[in-house]
Amino acid sequence: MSDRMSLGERLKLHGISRRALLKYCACTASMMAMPPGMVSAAAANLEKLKRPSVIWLSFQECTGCTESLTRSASPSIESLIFDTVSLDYHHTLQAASGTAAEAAREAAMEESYGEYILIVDGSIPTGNPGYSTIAGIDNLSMLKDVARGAAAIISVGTCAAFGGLPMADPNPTGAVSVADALPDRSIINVPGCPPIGDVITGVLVQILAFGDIPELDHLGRPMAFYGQNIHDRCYRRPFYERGLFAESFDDEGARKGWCLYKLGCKGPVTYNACAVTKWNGGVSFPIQAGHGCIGCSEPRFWDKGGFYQPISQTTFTDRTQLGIAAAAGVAAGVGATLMARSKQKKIRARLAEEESS
Amino acid sequence: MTLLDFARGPAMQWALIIFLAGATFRLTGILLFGRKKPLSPARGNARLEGYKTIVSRFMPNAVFHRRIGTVHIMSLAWHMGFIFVVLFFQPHIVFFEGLLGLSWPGVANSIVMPVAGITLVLLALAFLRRINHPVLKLLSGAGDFATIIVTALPLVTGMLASAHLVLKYETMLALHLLSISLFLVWVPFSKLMHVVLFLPSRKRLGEKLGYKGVKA
Amino acid sequence: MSMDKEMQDSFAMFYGMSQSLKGLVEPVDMEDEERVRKAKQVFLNKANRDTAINLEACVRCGLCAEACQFYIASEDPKYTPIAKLDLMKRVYQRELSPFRWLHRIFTPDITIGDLREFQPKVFDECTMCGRCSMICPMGIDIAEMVHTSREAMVEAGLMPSELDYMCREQDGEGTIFGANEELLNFRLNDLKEKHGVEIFVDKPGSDVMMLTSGLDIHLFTDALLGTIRTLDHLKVNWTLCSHAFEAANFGLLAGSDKTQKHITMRIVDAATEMGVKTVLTPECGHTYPAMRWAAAEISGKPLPFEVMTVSEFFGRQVMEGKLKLKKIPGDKVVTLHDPCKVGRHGGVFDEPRAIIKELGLKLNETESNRELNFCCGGGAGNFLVQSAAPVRKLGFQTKMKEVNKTGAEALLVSCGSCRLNFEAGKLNTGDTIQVDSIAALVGENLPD
Repeated sequence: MSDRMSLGERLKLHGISRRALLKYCACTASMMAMPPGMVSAAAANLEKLKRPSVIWLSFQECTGCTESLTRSASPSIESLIFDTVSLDYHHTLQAASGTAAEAAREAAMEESYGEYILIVDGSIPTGNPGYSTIAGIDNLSMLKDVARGAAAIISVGTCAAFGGLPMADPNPTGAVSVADALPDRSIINVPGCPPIGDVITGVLVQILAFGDIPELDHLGRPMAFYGQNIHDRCYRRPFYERGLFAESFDDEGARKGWCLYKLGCKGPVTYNACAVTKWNGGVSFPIQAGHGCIGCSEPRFWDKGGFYQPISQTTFTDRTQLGIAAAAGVAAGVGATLMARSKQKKIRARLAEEESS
Repeated sequence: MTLLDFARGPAMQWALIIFLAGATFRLTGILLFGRKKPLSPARGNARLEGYKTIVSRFMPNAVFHRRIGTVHIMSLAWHMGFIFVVLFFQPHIVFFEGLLGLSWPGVANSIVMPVAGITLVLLALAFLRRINHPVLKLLSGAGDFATIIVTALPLVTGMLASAHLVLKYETMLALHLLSISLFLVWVPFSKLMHVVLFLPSRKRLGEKLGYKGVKA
Repeated sequence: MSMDKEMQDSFAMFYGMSQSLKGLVEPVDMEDEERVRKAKQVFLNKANRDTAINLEACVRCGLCAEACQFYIASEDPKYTPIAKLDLMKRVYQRELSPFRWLHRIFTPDITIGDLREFQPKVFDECTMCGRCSMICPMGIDIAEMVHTSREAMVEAGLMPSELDYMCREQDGEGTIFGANEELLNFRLNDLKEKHGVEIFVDKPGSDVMMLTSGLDIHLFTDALLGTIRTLDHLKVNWTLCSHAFEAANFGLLAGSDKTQKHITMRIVDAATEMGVKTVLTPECGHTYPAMRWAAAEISGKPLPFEVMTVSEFFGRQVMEGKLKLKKIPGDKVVTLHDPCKVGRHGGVFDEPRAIIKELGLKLNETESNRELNFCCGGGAGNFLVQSAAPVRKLGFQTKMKEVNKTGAEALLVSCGSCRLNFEAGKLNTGDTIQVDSIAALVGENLPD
């Protein structure tokens, strides 16, 4: 088949000019804040690229990540990229099902052993293998099996990257992230709930174009997309500095587009491309739509107190404990000083005795 | 659990518990000591003078201005600056709201930050004075220097966090919260208790003098 | 009025006597451990809510030094008032404070070396004037705790020998400087002969029991005379008590609880027995708080009489229009010294000022006046302590700087020991300002 045609050839076949490819590369490059010189290098590499095999495994997930990916404006060059990779296994997108689907996966693994790219969405249950199985194979076994021959592993979405919602307290399935399930492998994390579609494709392009793992932050996230603090890039930042805050979602401040810090926005502690790349082809992002960032690209975002609790607040709000502490302090103080006073009393008695003798 | 989660959660929880238990312990302990009631007829209104003294001691009497005016103004400015930053920086108000359920209007960062900066400079001057002034050299112990450091840390980390400098914001915010926890824990064990003790202490002097008809 | 020839002679004699008390009594013999134990007992016994609050509230700002006359004159940190409380603080922290279990780890116990080191700090180098409390942002009553520290020294047998001598004389003979009943009678007769005043001793049914002092009997007879003259002029039904006339209370000054109690009760008992309405304390600063504020606590119940000092008594008569005085001619400018014990520790401020006004004098206040007044430098018995002489001089300098700035021709004072200290200080520094007794001035300017 035409599977082994280079991307450049396939683009020509689809009537996409080299100019359009360069434009796409320039766009991706600027998103990743790469120097302009890199654009032509990326385009050249992409043109030469043979369609690599991609295996997409879905474990404990909601398909939101796939939705995000497919919601990217269509028809777009990104979707062509996916035409360009050989997506050999993907529950939602592949036509095959059942035995045929699994056969496709095994075939791809065998054919491109050591070269294919593994993308995972969803977390892996470790509590009981029966919690989540595909074709009778439990998630962990399948992950380990497929990972063995993968050239690169990308965790898409916060569930795969950090355990996400399945791992949220009390974590009934014993869910873990891909990185925790495969402690020996280096994983590229593309977190978000879901991640921005353009970011998923951007990361993939980066890997394909440069053939190596991009620069990652301490949480394994590509710096190109996750190096920016939402609060730093937020267009509402000036209102924060001026002390102008929306106090509720329907007040004057909310209407005027003031800072959402007091409504629990997690922008200041969140790293993602939302404020730069935005969503739906750059139309908007949650803060622009009037809701604070929930910090979905950060580990355990679900367990960091309420989404509407401002980050400067302590997550400890049990005033009863404080009352008990104060009461205990008072009680101990009474005891301590009664003892001190009885000591004084003894001394006074002794002094009186000394005086009378 | 990230450092920030720890700082926002368990660290602050235990700091608040130790602070409250320790401060109430020390305060109750002090206030429960006995005292004899005076038996001589009073010349003035002791109670009134007691309350008046709580207020009047914020400003030294005019005869002391020449000798301590500058120091006093700087110390007053330091206290006011510190209280201002603690109470009127917006994220702080949000902190208190979460804890106490009370909130009040805040002030723009462009005002709070310079105030914090001046406050920190004043604290540095207080530190220099403490290591240079002969009287303070004589009086100061390790606890006094520790108190200055423990008080400076929240200011430094807070300003850096707010300016997104040196470390990532969430790390700096965590350090800021941890330094506040340290401050809270330090209060009951140190002279920082003066934030409460100045009240009964001033009041008693006022009462003692007021009872004799003397203005404190 | 300046000192006449007779008074100058008396002064020379008295001054000489007062400066030669050192070593008249044997130092107290006591084991070191016993000294420490006794001192600690005092600290533990006297600690109360006020001391607990005060000792815990100090922030070590050092401002108290800036109010101290000794520090102001020398800038020597050793005079820092709050530092004098270190021993008391350590005992409190280790034994009584809520966090005592922590303090025992970090705070060293007091030793005999500490006691000896702090002896001059609480005696020679502090007159318990209490001015430091007026600057303290925490309102710490330092003077009171220095007094407790003096008590601890007394119990530990570490009282300066001069004060020890005075206490023993008061405890034994009930006199100071040998001014006994015989000497009193001599003086009274002398005044009667020379000035024709009426004298009442042990007169039953009196309203006012007047006290006097060895100082006035020996030296400041003008103050004694002025008081008697004015009482007679006002037709006050007054008397002296032959066995309780000495007002001085070296127990209070030195910090000897027992002596203080003994002397106080002698007066309280005599006044109660005689059924007087008022006890009139002479121009002797510390007698005023001893009788006006401390006596009721010592006797354990409210006193059956009121206590006034002469300047207060006469001043009140003036304020009520009952005492008119001759105006002193010549627009004389004077300044007033509020003795710490009568002023800051007593509350008598308006009465002497009313007298000065009534006398037609122009009062130029010192910059620090009333409750902020500087001590004369020799208060709290320090006038008698030889080793305190250099420190006294410092205090005197600070005081006189303010006095001289007023441009006054005379310094009025209604405290014999302040007056004595001014006269002695003048000898040392060459200051020449005239120092006058208010009681004497009143007595001299009674209308005909």
